Amino acid sequence: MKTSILLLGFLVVGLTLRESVNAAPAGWANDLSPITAKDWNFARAAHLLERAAFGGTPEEIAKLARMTPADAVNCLVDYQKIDDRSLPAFEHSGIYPNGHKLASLGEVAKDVFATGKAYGVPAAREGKLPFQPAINEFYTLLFSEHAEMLRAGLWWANRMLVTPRPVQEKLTLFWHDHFATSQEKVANHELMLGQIETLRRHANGNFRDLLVALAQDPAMLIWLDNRENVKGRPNENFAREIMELFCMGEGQGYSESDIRELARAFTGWTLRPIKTTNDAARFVADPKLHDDGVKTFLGETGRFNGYDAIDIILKQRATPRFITRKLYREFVREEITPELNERLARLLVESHYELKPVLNTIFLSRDFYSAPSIGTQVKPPIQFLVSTWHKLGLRGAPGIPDFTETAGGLGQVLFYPPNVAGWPGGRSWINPATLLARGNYIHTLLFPDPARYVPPDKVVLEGYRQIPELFPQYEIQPHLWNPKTGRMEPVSMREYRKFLAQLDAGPMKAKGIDEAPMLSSNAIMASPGEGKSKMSQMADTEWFNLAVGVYSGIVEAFNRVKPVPRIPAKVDFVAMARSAQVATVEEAVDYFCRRFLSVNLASDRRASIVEFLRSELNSARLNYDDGSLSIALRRVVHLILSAPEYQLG
Amino acid sequence: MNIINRSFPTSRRDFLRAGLYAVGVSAGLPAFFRQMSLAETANALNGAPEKNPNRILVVLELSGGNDGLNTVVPYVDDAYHRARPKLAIRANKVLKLDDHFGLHPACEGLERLFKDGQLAIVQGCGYPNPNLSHFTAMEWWHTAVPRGNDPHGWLGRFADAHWPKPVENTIVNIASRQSRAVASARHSPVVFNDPKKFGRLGTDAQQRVFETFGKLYPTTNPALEFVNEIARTATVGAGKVRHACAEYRTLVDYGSANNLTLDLKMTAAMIAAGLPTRIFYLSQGGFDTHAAQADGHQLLLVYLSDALRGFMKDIERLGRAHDVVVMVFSEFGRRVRENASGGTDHGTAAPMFVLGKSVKGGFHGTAPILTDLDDGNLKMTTDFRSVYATMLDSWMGFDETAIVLKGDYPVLPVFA
Repeated sequence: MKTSILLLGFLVVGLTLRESVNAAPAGWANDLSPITAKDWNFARAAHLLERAAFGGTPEEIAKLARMTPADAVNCLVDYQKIDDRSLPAFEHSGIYPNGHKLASLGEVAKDVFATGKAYGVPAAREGKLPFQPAINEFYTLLFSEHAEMLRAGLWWANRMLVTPRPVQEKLTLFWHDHFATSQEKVANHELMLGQIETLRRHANGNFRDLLVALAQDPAMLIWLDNRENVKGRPNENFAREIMELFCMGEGQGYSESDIRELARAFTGWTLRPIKTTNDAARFVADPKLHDDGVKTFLGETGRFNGYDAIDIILKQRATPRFITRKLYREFVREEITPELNERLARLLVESHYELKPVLNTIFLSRDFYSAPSIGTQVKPPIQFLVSTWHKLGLRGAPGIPDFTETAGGLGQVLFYPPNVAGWPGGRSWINPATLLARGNYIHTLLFPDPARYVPPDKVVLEGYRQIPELFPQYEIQPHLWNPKTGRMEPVSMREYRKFLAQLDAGPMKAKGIDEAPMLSSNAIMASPGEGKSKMSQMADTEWFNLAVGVYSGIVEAFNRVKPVPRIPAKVDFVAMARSAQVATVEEAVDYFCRRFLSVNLASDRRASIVEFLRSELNSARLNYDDGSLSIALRRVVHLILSAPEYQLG
Repeated sequence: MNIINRSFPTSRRDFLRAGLYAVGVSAGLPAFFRQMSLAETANALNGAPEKNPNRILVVLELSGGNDGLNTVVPYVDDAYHRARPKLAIRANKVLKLDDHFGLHPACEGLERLFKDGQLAIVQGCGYPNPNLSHFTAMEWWHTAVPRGNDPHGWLGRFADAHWPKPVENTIVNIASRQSRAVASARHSPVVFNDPKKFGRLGTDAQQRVFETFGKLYPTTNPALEFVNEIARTATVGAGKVRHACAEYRTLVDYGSANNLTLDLKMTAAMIAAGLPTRIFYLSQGGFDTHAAQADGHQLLLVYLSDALRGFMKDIERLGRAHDVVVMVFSEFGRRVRENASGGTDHGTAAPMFVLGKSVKGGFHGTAPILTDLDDGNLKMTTDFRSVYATMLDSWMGFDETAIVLKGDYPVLPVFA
């Protein structure tokens, strides 16, 4: 009890001080000198957690505000001292029961002729569609790979929420965006998880170590084709991107000829094929595939290999500038001044590419706490989601609504960056659709309906659901997910149709909004006869049928991949309001604004939310015995978290 | 209970009526405007009547760098077959368009359009001193100003110049994130990719609060100013788009259910619903075929060709075939010589497509010569900004293209 009163004291002091943050002296912008203990307060501690981590609860902010700024930054950035052994490891579903991993149908064709097997199962059978078993197993592995990767994405997001080292996860996410590698092409969730673990290990360490580790990372070797980069037939993909996107920046002092020469230096850095669960995914520097000739690269000449090449890249003036500019954009502001960029670059070089000194300098700088740095960043979707959970005080990632579906709608699916340049970020996160989707996420999060919730990870994808109906000649058994047995179970066509009709109605329909199923027709459904598309012709051969394979693959993948627990978020806004001694509707709105917003709400918007709460409660004061208070506060928080202001951190 | 906008018509018939006479007209306009069509309203707002107020431009971006040589195949050219021992499309497989060029066998839909005179292929499109980075090259195609760092796109600048008084929904960008090509100083493009979710959940009382989110307030925080502007566009545009897409039905076969198919169907839906949209911007990814190109590229071309054919048929069904043109481009073609991974590396010039009933079908421009290369890459023969100028001038009826494109580029005879 005593501590909570003490805490409350801090909160009140802190919350009033928050206003003063915008009053940071004008001269602070672009000033790298550290702030002093007398400038340190609740509002600045909140800003530090907002940017360097995934936001804070009032209690966490108050704890940080009690330290000196140097200690606060240090305990966040120098996280290796914090024990994180209690963090849950990813629980694999075991998606390779036959011991074979996903490979393209072309790659397994040889096995089929030699052994009659594909992916460890018999490739053919008697009767109709004789090669269907191979096709089915291909799609099972394909969909399992993706479903398991998405589960891993949720596991990672949960780790961001519960870790005692949030800066480590934030940096790992930053490097995931920087060395943007996608499961879309890698198609091996174990390698993707391995890459993230490598990023995590080096997240605040030495950039050279990180770069070498990534150049030799199996997922990266697949992603940018360096495993195909061999003597005599160089593949330039990795060579181009290590300079353009990982180290120097486009147009920063290298030529097309440098790219070709660099590709030669990386020849032979490769990977052995990984077809079965017995094949180790290990980096190999194969001397037979390495071009040992003389290369001229960035003005130097010699028989360079990959390590030499990396060291030459790190010697370029562009490299430390590029890295520090990107760190600054991530943590401080969109644009860095050339002077500031130069100073941070010099610091990185002087520390031999150790990252901690740069991070410490940034997070302690007056510039970081200056007005143009505060509340001016569009929260990236993952930041938006994890920090929302955090500020709501959740202890685990909520199961409703679906994390992947939400993150996808907002434009950021972990392990699936759009391309090697990573997520474009900044203002591009917000457009009319994503802005509305953010608000609707909050709605479903705060008003979950577990009884009626259809888990999207166990519903056959739109466009494929109708396959059993569309191909009666193959007598495909329709399946539906049974949450009780945790498996896909056969159902009658009538039950199946009924389920699909409900599903097509969509979330808005369920809320009483007129909205018909849209555009669910596809090649497979298209009108027969005239003008058949090429896809319709290809999908249906006498040896196998791709649509049948897709349906069977999805059903089997759902059985292989563990379901996501659908535990809704539990939040008690009444308790929050009570412990903050909120008495009036105005105080309630202001309390939740302070708890969640980094930017003040426009006064009109604040007034309309106050008015809303007054009319919901039929009173200007909160009555803690009134059973309807809980839902009214929920609606208020939904409104505040849907406001344009909440999108900024 | 939870209705996004109760005043919105709910039946298709109501919707069409509303679509023609009321939707998109901002609240403060004089009453007589409400009797006009949306296009006419836009005209009235912008002063001089537009020559072709019903014309629509659909721009489709193929991102990653589509292999032009394996799309429009120079099948009689020995140099082509020599450079691509594994990947070259054999003459007997090609869908022959004339004695020199044919389409990849996946492109049956495009072949049909070509034979019907609805497909113009502009050969060898590029620009001087090409850049082989995806991101830089794409930025230059988006801004039409190589090395210019222009914050706005060519379509955004065109909209600013042509329609200085923006009408809501003039530009629609179906995407998860706005393209630089439509970035504009005056217009705020409607960006979305799932129309089902384009609206706000909440009670009626909450909807009234949401209206204050759609209003602009002065602020010194530029990021907040930006989000407020987006909130305003969302508040105005969302309902119309959602309903247009929800109401749409078609039996035309667009091919498989990929993103491109869905995006083109949504485009057709918005055209069918009479939205005042004049520019649609769509994009399809996956064309960066560094390795194992043969199968992947074939599938991409099947998607592309099927979807474009389906879209053109659907637009014809809607009676708008003479009002809609599609322009297709990629940020670059690929290296002439195949690489050791069964793929091709980043290249330069490539053909662009212009499709529609109003188009003068056939080949335009000159194809690059495969034996006269620049460091292994094709030399461009047509500046892509000439194609842009043609779309703006001949199609959209805007002749001051030099202002928008920041240079004079000759108009090509792509339209009869």
